[in-house]
Amino acid sequence: MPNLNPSAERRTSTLPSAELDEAELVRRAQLGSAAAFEQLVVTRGPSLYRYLAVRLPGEGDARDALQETLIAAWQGLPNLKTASRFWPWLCGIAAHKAADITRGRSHAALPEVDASASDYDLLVVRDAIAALPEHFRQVLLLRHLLGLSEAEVAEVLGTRIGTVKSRSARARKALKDLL
Amino acid sequence: MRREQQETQKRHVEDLLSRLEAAVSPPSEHDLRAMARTASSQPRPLRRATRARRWPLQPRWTGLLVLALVVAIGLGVGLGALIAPSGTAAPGPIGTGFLPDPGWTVLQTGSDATPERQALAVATNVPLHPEDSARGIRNSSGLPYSTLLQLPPRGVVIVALFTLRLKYEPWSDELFPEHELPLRVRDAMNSISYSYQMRPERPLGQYELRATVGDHRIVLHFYFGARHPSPQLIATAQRQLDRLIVASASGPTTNADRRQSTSAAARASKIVDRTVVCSITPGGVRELDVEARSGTRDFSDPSKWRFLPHIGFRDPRTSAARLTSASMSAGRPYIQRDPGGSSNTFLLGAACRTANAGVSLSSARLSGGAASPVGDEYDCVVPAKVFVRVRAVFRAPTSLRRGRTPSGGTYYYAREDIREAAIAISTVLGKPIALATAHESGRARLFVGDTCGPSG
Repeated sequence: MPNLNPSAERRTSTLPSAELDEAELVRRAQLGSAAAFEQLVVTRGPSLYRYLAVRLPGEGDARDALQETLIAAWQGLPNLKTASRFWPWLCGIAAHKAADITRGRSHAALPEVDASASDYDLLVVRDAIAALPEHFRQVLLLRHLLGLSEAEVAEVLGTRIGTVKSRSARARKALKDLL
Repeated sequence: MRREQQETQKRHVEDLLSRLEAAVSPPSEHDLRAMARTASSQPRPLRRATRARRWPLQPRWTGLLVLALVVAIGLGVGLGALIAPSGTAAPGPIGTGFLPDPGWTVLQTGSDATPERQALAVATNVPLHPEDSARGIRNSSGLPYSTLLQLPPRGVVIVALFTLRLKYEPWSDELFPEHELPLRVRDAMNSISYSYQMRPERPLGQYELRATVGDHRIVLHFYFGARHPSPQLIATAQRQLDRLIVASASGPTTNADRRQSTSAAARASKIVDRTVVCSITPGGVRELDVEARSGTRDFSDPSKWRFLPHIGFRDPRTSAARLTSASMSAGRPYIQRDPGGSSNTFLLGAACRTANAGVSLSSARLSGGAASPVGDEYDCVVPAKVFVRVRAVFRAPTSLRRGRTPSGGTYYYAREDIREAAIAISTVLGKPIALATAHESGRARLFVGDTCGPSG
């Protein structure tokens, strides 16, 4: 029942958006709600950025890739059929944007070393990940950094689950060898 | 044994990755929100038309079907003319309410809202249930409850409540943002989180939109027969919403009136995003200069910018009467917008023609980074024609004006403060040449391709 009682309006309208489930936010964003999209970005953006920052050479690249991912996501949202598949779908876009940037810099030198990182081991890990073949790196990061299931990684990369499983195991072994 | 080894290896990798992940500090919430807003300010591409399905009937059956339809329609029209009462339509609602779109039924109080009494209007694209019709709008809360309970999947009901805006209602201003007609269904939020589902056994799509239009507060409730309304159903509701009338002290305002009276305001926008094609002046190697300079704080008052972050490009050989250039400065407050002392924040030479091309605002395939506070400038060797995309996000809606230099060169300019600015240059084949960005935080960045070198 519509209610114009000021106190009631105030109470109901200030419910934190975080309480809404992601699927609902996705549906709103699909309908064109920029506020809902912003909430999704605030929730999912940090993980996505961390993935891109590990995947790409520099902070600037990661930011650019994140911005491009978000633009592509906003424009492609109306075509997303299942709202609950938003996260793997978004990861897929990010993975492809990162691949585009990496491909454009195939002759680039080693990734930038984060001078602020105090833990030398982490820099070594980062270099080792950068030295992995592209298809190993993709599976490793999507699976273990973004927490996608094997089926979701397969969907993102357009491969079979068996391929993801074998690549995942071989990537871990290759990383161990490099370290 | 092997499985155990694999599990250990997996845990080790996960541990390393989680430590690596923890070492990366993500952008702040403020930055993420800004990025989200940048993304959502991009227009969504129109959906590709779906391929028509093959007509399932053979031609002769189609012909018979068409004939039968023509006969049926003819009989229907004749019969309708015999039984329909004749009369004239009402001249339109008084005060606030809906003008019915064809196929819609409207029920409304027909008077304007007063501080003591709200005005109500209900519009529906399905026949009103007899109980709701009989009760009338004055004797109800405005909710056609019986109609809603039987709303079919393609049905829409819009309930509008109008109250007069009082002078001192700061809390209310937050809840009812200022809007101009036409309001947009897409701005409505799903109201289930805030209220209850009207028909739990077959849930309705319930949305709510609050707005201040002129001196009225408006609450619009949209009820769709389907929980997740299709784009077609939303478009249907939008057509009726386009016919919303809101009275004001100077008389009723319709969309058409509003469009006429505020045509200049309608052109104003917070985002200017233009892609142009520029012909570069010949003469040996064709060149373009691109520049970027990060902002510099004032030493005596660090809250102000001495020099704003600035970006620009220009054809160095172009004549003064033919401006092939653009420049932008972002940020506020400032002491001096740029060393030249111009009060323009945005400037785009009119020598370049508008182009329908996609130029990415990405640094992919370019190298560079933060610009220095004293300014970085590069000369780029370019082909005869280049695409230039100029994008500025202003602090408030603004429109570009046209100016003329003493030597006759024309340009577009704006003086509103800029939050973010970007200039991207590419060849007509899409190869990126340069990207310069400036942000109100003071940061400016410059990325260039392999045909560019530092000016010197």
